[in-house]
Amino acid sequence: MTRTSFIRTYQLFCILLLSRLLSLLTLASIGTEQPSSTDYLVSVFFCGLFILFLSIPMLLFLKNYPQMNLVDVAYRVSPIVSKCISVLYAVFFSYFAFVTLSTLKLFVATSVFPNDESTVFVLICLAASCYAATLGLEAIGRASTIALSIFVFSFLFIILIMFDKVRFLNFTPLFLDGVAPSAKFGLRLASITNEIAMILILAPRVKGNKQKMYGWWLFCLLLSILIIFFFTFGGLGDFAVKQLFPVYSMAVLSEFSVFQRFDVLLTGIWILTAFLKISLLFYLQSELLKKSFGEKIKNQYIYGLGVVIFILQFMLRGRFSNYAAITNLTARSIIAFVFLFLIPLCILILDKLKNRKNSTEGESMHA
Amino acid sequence: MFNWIKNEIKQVTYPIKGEESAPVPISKDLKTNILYFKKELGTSFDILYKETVVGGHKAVLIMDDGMCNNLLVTQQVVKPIMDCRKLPKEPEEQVAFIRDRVCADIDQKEVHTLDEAVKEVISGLVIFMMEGVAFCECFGVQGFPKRSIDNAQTEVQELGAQEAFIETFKDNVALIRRRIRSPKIRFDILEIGNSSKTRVCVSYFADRVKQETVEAVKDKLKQAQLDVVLGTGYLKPFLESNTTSLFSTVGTTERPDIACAEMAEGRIVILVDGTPFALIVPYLFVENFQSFDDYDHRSYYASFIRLLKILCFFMSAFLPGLYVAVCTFHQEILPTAMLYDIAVQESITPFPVMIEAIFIHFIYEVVREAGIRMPKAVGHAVSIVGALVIGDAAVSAGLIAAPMLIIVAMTAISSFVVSKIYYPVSVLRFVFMLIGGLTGFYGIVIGFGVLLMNLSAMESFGTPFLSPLAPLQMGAISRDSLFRMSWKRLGKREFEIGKLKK
Amino acid sequence: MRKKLLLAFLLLLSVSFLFSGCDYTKNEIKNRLIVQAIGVDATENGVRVTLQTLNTDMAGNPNSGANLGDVISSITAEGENLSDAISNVSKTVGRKPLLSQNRLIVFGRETAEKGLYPFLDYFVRSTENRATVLLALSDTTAEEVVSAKMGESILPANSLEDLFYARRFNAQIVKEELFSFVNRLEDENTDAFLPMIKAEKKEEEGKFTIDSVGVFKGDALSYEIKDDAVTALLLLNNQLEGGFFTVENPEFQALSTAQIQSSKTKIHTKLEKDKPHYSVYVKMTIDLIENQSKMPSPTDKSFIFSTKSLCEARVGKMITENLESCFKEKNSDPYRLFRRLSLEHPFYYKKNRQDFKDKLPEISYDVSVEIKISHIGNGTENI
Repeated sequence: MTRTSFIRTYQLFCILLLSRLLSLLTLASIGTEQPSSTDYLVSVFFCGLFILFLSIPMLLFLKNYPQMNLVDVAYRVSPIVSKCISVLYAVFFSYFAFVTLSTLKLFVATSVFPNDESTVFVLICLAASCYAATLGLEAIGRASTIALSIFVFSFLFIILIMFDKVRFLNFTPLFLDGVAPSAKFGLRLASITNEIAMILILAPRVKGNKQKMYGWWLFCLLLSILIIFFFTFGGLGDFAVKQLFPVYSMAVLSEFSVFQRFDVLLTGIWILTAFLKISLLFYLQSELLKKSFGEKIKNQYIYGLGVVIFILQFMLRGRFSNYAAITNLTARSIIAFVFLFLIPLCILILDKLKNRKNSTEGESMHA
Repeated sequence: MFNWIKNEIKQVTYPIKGEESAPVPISKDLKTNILYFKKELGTSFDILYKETVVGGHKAVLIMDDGMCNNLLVTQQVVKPIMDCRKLPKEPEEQVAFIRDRVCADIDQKEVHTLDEAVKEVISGLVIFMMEGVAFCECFGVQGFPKRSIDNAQTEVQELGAQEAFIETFKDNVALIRRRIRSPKIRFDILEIGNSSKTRVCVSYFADRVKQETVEAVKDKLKQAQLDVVLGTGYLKPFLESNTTSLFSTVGTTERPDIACAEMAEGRIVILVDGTPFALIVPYLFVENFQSFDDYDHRSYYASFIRLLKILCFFMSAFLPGLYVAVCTFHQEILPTAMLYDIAVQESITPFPVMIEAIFIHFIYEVVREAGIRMPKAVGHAVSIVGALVIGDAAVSAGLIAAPMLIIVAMTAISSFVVSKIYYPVSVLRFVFMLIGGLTGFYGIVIGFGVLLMNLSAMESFGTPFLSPLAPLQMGAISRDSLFRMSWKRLGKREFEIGKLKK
Repeated sequence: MRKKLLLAFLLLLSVSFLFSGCDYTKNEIKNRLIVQAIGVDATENGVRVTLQTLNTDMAGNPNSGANLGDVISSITAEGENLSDAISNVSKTVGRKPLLSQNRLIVFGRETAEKGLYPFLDYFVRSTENRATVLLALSDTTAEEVVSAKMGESILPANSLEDLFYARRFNAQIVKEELFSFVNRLEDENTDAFLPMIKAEKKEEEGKFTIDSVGVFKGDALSYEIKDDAVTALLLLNNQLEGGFFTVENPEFQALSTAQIQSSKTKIHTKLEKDKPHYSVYVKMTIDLIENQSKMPSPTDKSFIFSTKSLCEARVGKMITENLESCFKEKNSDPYRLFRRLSLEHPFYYKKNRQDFKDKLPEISYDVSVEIKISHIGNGTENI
């Protein structure tokens, strides 16, 4: 019988923050209207509003069922519903693992190894993530703490470098092209959030005040995005808007004494973050499927997903247009709304209804 | 074909079970007992049988010549027994009289089975058996050859004590007792090894270690199905973490002061008879960067040295790989002048940078290993040849570039600073050189991530291996991990390993 | 057992993928051509590229005393576009150029006059190229600057780069990096500028000077400015780091030279009758370093204050004249003054984004200068 592993709230905080910041750092300016520089900063507030809206069911869950996760509550409604939820969210996490890996591959192919085949690198990353996922939640939690410390140092390094490069003239007036581009970009930022679903699944395995952790996470996330955008667009101006990975372009400017192009080191740290995020997503989907369907071969779901994602990556290689298709804003927004808001809300309502029905039946029996 | 491979492997790896029999009680017939001894011990020349008559009854003294102190045997056992005049009539009373009156001033033990009696003889005790008595007395007159207490060979400290453990665990226990005169210290004995029956002593502070942890350690030791135990290395794998890793979750030490310090922090020290090294569990990763000298220096210097060691660890593990990665993939990091110099030097070498790095590090390992195995008289020649071959000749011949030589030198020196983890680091170095040469810095980062995850997953008897870094405990980090506080704080009893966050 | 065999098989499979045809040595340092400077000249059929490279090929072992020979060489290649031209360089040397060590990109005069957009995209898109690489114009062709010789050796690019860093003590040197230049180009109401390098040849000895600054309209070179105009440009862009200027003091019959220690420019905007008005305020700290006069060096307060006033007038006049010249005569704004409106009067900015250039002659401004004399030389009392 395997021991259930637990992590603390600060470890979950580290995991979630790293996961989300990676999505930001490798944010590619594809498929959506690009706001002007100041509007990027405003879009952070829109993003915050959207995330708060999406997290309402999750917060209700944490309040009403502190020691249960979404699948457990779904089981109370019906075992079949629980299995469906497990499968759906396993697919959800698998999808995000695939998208994260695709984004990483695009990033690697564009900025890291532009002249070489990036598939080999992605295969190595995938294999490493599979192995890391088999080590369990505690290992991921502990490694995330160290990785976040390294990330913060690199972050501070960039800020120090960019301090004297920021020009307020690079900022445009507020809502230069209207509110819509800013709101759309805020929605785009919010639609890549899958951390709310992670909390919904991991809640019973976390010791501590989860609501407080979430509040701090959201605050730190928005602050980090604000700072990154401020230095990116304040330092680079319109040059950043022309780049596929604007945040990476900021890192390219980092120099220290005679050493230049520290983007290599910074990109390395981002890749470490990607590795941890993909491991966590693999782990989550494995846990969901294991809980509902059991496991014949140890870690079968992790390796199985690894093989599937590799085949998909192999099929998609060399086609930039496919990347744009999988990151379509409408599709991502719908997925985020359904999995982060709608499904948890439905499960909550169904459980409440069932409880009410059971208590009514109980009263009538007593009567 | 796969079945054939399976069968071939089976033949060598499956254990050969020894014969296990029920304990044989000591017979009242002396001849039966002597015959049993002769059957068990064979015709070994060092087993001596002195048959005599004591108090009108036949008796025998059996001893192992090499394991006993002959003077003690003569003066404390044989002579008093032989000179004894007024003995009771019954043989059992006579044996009891000899035990309680005649030879009362030496260690004694009463044994009821022949197997135990055989074991005591080969442990260096003299046994005394009498006709008509179903037990025998064992007298502690051990005098086997042993080394005197000497300096530590592997853990040299500048300002610390100069004593080290020796092969006899009883003396080692005394070295510990002398330093910590607390009634709370426990020394539990186990016998491990089906044939060697090596005595293993589990020592700990009873009020600082959880009993479950002690039992877990003992269970793991008992589960070790070993034929002979000749060193701590035999037992180490059985105490390691469940996660396979290059790093060990069991520490070793040759020094009693370190063993005492570890015990005071709530760890368990395992002494093995026949080896001067003690095992320590639980063992954390950060302890590889600690040495006893740190505690003799001022806190600022000790903290500086700790950080230096951590830097040396990263240098020894990653520097060659990083150099290969930078030269192969990331030339943009280097300033132009440095890049130009390296490019000029590398242009004359026939090998790619990765092959060059692996080759030269391999040669270095060969020279290092040769230096350890060579007799001391010839060792100087090895170092000269190594320096000449690697240093001057290879560079002049254009086999390797001069910057690569500097990298090797820096790596080698750094690895000796953190000698406790030399072996895993030397393997890691090759892995990262390969990764760096094939996938660049980003591959090294992925490799580092895998290593980090592996270390994060390891636990040493319930304590995470990366504690107090992960799970993070700032107090413990600043107290005595990455930094070292002054003794005003360190001297307080506020750290126990069992109380670290899990 | 089955698992171990499966793992071994997977490992062999992955190794065969990794190593088959995997030429990991192609990017190695010894197989790359280290580029120090790039010159771009437009031709009739495309573009001509001149690369200044470092020679790393050795005839023997440098550790045994072999001589390297010429360290720097230049290679010229032509192509339909920049990437084609740069790849054609490999036809000459058989190595792939390494652009990450590139210090300088020079555009020929004619190339700049035709427009730089076609040539900038390559450098912006390339991940090897640094975004902080310096840009410059050549008075003639870029090839002449990049492959200029001094004796038998080519003038190295780091000497050229050093010229730009001399702006710390010269008020007529402008330094522009790629990302900053592109940023200016993207702003439709701001005119970008680049330093102009003049290559002089005197008895086989090559010499470079940063002679003037070329100002662009859109991406095409429009006009040049020199001397005080460059100083005014730096002042108004708040980029002045140091330099010297001279003032004549008729009252004391002296010609005084001041060294600029620090300078800060603040520009406030306001709207007067729907027209922008700029208040330029310059705060400068100078040292009096030389005083040419027929009398012994005066050190009294009246001289110091007189010199101070003259310096302030000089700087103020420098700025005013150049603003006048740019706005009224050349219809150009290399000072990003319109962009400043976006910070303080965003609605006006949004309303007039498209046609601000037409309103340039109507702009009014006032300039005030405050100079503080920090030191007046050795052995005399500071005021």
